[in-house]
Amino acid sequence: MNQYYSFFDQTSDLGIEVMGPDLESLYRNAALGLTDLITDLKMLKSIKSRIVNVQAEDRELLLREFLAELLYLFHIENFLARDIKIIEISGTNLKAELSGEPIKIGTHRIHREIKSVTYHQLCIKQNESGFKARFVLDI
Amino acid sequence: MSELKKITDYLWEIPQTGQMLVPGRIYASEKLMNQIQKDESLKQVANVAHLPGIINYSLAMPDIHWGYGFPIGGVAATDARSGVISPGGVGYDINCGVRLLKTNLSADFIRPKIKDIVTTLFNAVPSGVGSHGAIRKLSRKDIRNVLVNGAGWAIENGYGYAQTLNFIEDNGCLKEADPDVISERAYQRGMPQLGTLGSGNHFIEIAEVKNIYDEDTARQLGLEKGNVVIFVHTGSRGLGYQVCDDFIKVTLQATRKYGINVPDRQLACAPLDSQEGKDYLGAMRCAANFAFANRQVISSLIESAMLKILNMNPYDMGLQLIWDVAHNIAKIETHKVDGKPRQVCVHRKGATRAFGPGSQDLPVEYRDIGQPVLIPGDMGTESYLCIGTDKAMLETFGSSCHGAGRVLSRTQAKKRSQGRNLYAELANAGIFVMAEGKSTMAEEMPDAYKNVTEVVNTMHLAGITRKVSRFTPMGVVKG
Repeated sequence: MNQYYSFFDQTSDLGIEVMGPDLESLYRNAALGLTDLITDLKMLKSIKSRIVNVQAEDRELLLREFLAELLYLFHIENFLARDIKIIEISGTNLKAELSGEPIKIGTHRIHREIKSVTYHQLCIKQNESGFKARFVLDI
Repeated sequence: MSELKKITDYLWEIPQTGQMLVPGRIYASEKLMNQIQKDESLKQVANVAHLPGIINYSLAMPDIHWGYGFPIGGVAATDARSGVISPGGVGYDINCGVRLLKTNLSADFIRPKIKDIVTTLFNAVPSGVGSHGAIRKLSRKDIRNVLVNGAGWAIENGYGYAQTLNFIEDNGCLKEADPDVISERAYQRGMPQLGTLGSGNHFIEIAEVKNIYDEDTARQLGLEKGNVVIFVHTGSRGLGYQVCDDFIKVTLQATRKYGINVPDRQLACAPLDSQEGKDYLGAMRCAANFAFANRQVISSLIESAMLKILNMNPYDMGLQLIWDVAHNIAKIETHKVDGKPRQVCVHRKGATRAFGPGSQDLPVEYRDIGQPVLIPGDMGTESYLCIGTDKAMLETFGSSCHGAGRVLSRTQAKKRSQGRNLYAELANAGIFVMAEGKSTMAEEMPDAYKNVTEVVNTMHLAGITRKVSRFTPMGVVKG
């Protein structure tokens, strides 16, 4: 956990609240928060890089799609990103470069399974200091 | 949300206000209601009441807690012709469910061997995040057969006995499953995972039949006091998660296309008679069939492992399925509404089907007693087998609770567990536990759950399900 994301209580699952001075940082911090829930972020190495492209109808759905894409890469290839660079972002498109590694389950500490990123109470709000997003994960 | 009205000692109502199409009704004792009011689950009951075509009430069972979209413990029946189906009313783990197996083994015989047995099962059934490789690598054609035939595929491929199918809800296969609407991603995620337990609250539990409250019913089910039973709790794994994810996207668009207003995006839905609704139903049935096959393969892995370690033959061990229930599902069923039979789509999100005696959907062996309802508690206390009643058919579309229900969030549970050795605490209580996930023990600690006895007694006293038997854990494999 770092100063940019924190977990909020939700009885059955887990909520994440993320902050960022701009949208790029917000999406990046959300992705790192998600990864940190799966394993110790600082134990990951940047061995491989991947480009992901996602589209959605608004910025909230775009955030969910981006996070769902990261989960998919983990579920299929065991790939987790340590560093994330947002290459392009608009309200409905996002292109990012992920640097990380396909982890070895059994070698890395895996904290928990995350089934999906839900749409429940999904929101992004803007204030004087930047952006704040909330989302709930199905555990 | 308007004020809660007490209807009886075990039933409460949220009056219909605003855009709600029906009132909400929650089964709970006063004590449980005090806990329930601490989170947002009652608001979720009211939200579900907005689904087009919802009939009678947005219902909730006493294990209700705050989920996403639907509350966990929520039941909603929608008209099969004019109503909607919502993937959020089923959840990501489609056909997450429980099965209960009986044995001829006495608890006294097993107790000294429990560490070896739990260790053996822990190794025999892959568990934890992304667990895979339980059985031979399945081809795409194999998986397609699993999605269409469910537990029947497992039996045909040597994982169990044909008579087992009679004791699985819907004989372990939902008809009209449509594998053509399953995405490539869902296939990819499902292929390596058949026969795996997964993570989180999934488990295998070896327990003792500790109390019998209804001798006749217990006899018909083959339950004997002092004997060992085995619970298996898991679902459709990554395939189900992906199907839900894919179809929430489809139904979000359908919600707009058909001009449906719901208060939470997670309640996205599609009319049952639309292409989107039919496609989701066909896909959900595939995932449900994967889950039925998964629990069947796991049972077979358990049997092989136990026969080996106990050096026994199958006849002496007598491992037999009592019942297998789905508790995250949507089903087209016929129920009496205003005294007349009507086809409805019953969403059970963290709720168990609980059909009463006489139902043609039950095997002949159980038709005069009613359907077994399996209600596991937390890993440190107890679990129950109950039976569905006529009153369940009248009031809850034949549904009841599915477990204890969480009372602490995962972060609260972690805080509560700090400085404690949960393994040692459970071992002192005579329960040997092995867990794969590093956070599982803390997040799934007994304190995180409501008192399952209070939940079960609520449904018993409300007349929805009858208590038959209580089980206490001896050994647990957690995902």
